[in-house]
Amino acid sequence: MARPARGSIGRRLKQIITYGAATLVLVVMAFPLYGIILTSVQTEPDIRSRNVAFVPTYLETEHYRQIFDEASGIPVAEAMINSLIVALATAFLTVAIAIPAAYALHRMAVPGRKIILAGLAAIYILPTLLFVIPLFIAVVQLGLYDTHIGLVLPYVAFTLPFMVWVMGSFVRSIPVEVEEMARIDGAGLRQLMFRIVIPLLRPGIFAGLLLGFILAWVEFLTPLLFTSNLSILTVTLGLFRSTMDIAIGQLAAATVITALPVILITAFFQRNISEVITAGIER
Amino acid sequence: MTPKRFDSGVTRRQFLGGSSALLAFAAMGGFSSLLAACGGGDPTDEGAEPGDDFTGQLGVLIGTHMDPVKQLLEQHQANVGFAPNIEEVTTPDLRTKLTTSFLAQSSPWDAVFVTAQLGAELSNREWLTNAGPFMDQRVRSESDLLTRGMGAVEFAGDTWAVPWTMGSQLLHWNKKLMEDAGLDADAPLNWHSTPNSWDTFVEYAKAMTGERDGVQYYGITDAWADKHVLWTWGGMLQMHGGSFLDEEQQPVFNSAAGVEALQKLHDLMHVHQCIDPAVPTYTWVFDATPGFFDGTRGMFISWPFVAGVAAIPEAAPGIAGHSAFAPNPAVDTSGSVDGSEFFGVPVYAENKDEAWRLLDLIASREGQRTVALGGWGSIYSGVLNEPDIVEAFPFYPALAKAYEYPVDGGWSEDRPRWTQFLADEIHEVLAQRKSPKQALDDAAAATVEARRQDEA
Amino acid sequence: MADQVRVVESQTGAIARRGRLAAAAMVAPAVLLVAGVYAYPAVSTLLYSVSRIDLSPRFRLERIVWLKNFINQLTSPTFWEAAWITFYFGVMLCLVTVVLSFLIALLLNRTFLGRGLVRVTVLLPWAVPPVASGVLWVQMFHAEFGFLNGLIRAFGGEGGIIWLGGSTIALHSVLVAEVWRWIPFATLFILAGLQIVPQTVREAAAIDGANPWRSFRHVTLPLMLPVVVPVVIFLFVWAMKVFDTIFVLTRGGPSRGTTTLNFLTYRQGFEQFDFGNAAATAYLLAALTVVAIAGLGWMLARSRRLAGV
Repeated sequence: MARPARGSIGRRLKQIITYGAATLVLVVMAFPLYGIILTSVQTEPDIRSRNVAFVPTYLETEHYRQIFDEASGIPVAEAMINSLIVALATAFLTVAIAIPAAYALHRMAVPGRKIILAGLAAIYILPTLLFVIPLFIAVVQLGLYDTHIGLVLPYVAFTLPFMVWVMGSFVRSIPVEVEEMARIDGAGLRQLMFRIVIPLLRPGIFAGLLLGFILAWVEFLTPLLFTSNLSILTVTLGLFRSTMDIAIGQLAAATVITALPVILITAFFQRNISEVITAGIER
Repeated sequence: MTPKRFDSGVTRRQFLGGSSALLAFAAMGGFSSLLAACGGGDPTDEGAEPGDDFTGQLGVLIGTHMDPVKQLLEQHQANVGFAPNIEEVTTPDLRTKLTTSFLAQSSPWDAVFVTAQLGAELSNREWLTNAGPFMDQRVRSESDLLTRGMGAVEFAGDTWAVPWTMGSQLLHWNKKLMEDAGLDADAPLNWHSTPNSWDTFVEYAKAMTGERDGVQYYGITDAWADKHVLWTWGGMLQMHGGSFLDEEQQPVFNSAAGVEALQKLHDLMHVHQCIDPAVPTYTWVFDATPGFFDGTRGMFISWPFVAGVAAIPEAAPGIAGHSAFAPNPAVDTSGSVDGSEFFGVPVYAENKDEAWRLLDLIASREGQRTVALGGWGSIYSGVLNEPDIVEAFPFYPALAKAYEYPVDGGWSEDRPRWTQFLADEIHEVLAQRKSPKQALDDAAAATVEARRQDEA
Repeated sequence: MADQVRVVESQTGAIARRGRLAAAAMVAPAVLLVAGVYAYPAVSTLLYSVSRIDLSPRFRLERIVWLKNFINQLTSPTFWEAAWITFYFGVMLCLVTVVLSFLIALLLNRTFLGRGLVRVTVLLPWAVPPVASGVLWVQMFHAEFGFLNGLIRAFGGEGGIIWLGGSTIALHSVLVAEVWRWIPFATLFILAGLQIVPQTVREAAAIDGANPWRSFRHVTLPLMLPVVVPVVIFLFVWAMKVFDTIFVLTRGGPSRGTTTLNFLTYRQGFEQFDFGNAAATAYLLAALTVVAIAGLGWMLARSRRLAGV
């Protein structure tokens, strides 16, 4: 612990402010999450009571049990697996497509490079809410209705522009000299990619996979109408669709279950994720 | 931030030209394939006449709340010897689910759950098979069908869906709270047949409102957010002898009756202050039930099932044993808005006769006994009054009674649109930014204007 | 940036051509997929916006009505009301989020015990699925048993605030929920920016006798502008599309008080199934977004010139 060598009043004051601010930030940012966890472990009458108990005197696990109960009519385990499949597939596909694209866009002569980069960014301005209907009709016509692919394709497309941008900044951080040396040694494009670029990109790839997974897991109300029609339930959708009932406790438990995987990932890999979110900045 | 020079074989203009051509192609291609897909022959009425083309397959879309229907589906499986494919949906999701599917000209289900609201829309779009012949043969032949609950699915002499349960809003109250306030807790039983009992209703609410032992009590609770306000207000409109639309489906909700009803609604909040002030934020019935079930709200105009839950001590500790119910209070007459639920057979369904075979069971008197014993109002007044059923569910006779009063919902194809105008304007009045007259006139004008734009 | 150009320039003749082909092949899957999933609906939707769509009995383009849907919107008070709410919401979201995030980032840029914990906590809201965060804020804002009123009562207050009750308070409640959701992103971004403002520059400023505010105002802030502006643009684009929170918390009410243009699009498209007008509204929203971003870009250029960066 770093104790100030000289206990000047100014320094002491600075410390008090720092720790005061840190506590405030901690409490305010965590409060809503704490609230929902608290709700999920209290009995229904207590949840509906005006006397909010901020420190629980008991832990009620009933809501969690009910969610996973067969009688609830929701195949939670299946929905979890569906989510996992869709999120993993999205993550891997997105990264696999984004890396060559990012590399080419930043290190090679791609026809229409500027337009492609601008177009990828502009996608996010478009009114995506409305795309659901034409997209839905297309998916049905292509026979992708009720398939995992029907879910993964839009997710990948939605995540790709951001991922290309992120991977781009990782690509730019590779020193050109390394590649030039490889070229001088007579390495072809494929060797260059697999021997030099991809190994150098490894931290970026890992972070990109995390990002893709999280975005796919979290994604479900944006294409509210689209996914609502797919009987392959993802866990986020399934839990919410089916527990939206009288039981607030169950809803809270469902919320916790849904958010838990991504929260854990975020907590464990916060450095990698920070890196990805801020990737565009330093170079 | 982009490279200063870009060396490429394709000039930017060429690329732009090329890509716009590509987009145009995609658009045309997309649309022609879309139109081609849509042109696949008329959705015919074949299958309207229930036949015996039994395919041994059946897809059913039911609501998550339909326990009795699940029971009937099990019975049906035993009868026909194969398992139906059952999918469940919550009521708020139903609309998008059905509409997006039918837009894509497909229906994985042969029988679908349809609310009163959706019945009007779907049948106007000709997405449901005509259920007229089935209804004539199997349901209307029963003399005690609650015909006022059929309004939502009847158009131009045709019927588009089969009811599985009927229910209009009722007045529910907490007898204990009334007694604590020194009121006669049985008096509300007769309000529906007593003109101007609305005023007594308000007096009761005021008497029950107040703070006791640090707990705030309110005489009334309700769910008024967004369009939900139209249930109670619609009942009040009809209590004053008004209606939403006239026979040509033109808006007449801005009549003197409507203005008076809206004034009364406004007064509950701002003059009498006897209603939970948060009701405009309650987006559906389950936002309002907590206060009613824990015994801090005296009266609640809501769906019949509330009476069932209010009788269960675990679910409603503050009211169980003190719960009572009756048709709504009266002004000129009592009134309510019908919230019956139906099953329709989509025109895109592939096993229509299997669907009719299932609906035959659901709409039979035997099936309706199962429905009633499951806590949902039967479509036959006879079943609602059978002694053993009444013993289990004492509120059924009140429900049958409610259907003796007006229960119209103003069903029309553009109902989602004009109810939005109307609800928004009613909220303007509740926020005290407009007078009732002005607000209702504006809603009616917006309705007419939107229709005019449709025609233009 | 210069290094890429160098690579491009170092290639010549046949090699370059082959390189271009390979490069195009590497970009193609991404471009085709994005275009396939977006261009088709984008163009279809653009067509809807100039058409009258009939749904009975099947989805079809009844006829082209050219700009009628756009005129409908531009002459409708509901549209302008929503446009104003949207714009106000966007500006407020950017302002509040950026100011708070800047403060949090300044905090996280210091060394103190437990910094890792604060950092993770600040990051967490980002990982909460939008609908989950909607549910969570319902619990926060509930007038009767919500946590916020409970908290106020715990500190001896009345605690009877109906957070979603009036148009204005409801809009700001939604704002609070959205700010909470976007603080992680903005904080990380700004923090990364702060960390590249060379410590030596600030130390130099401190030696020159600049007080903390002056050093912040004249050294940190100008250097941070290029970082803050992209954050603002990003936040603004997302604010224009806010949907989940409104859908769960207020459904656009009370009395249209939280009906943003995106929510209006949803209402027109998926509650009233009026795809023509919904598409027009959506494209007008996109236009508003572009104009606002162009404005921001202009402000950036101007402020840069003023700051002499």
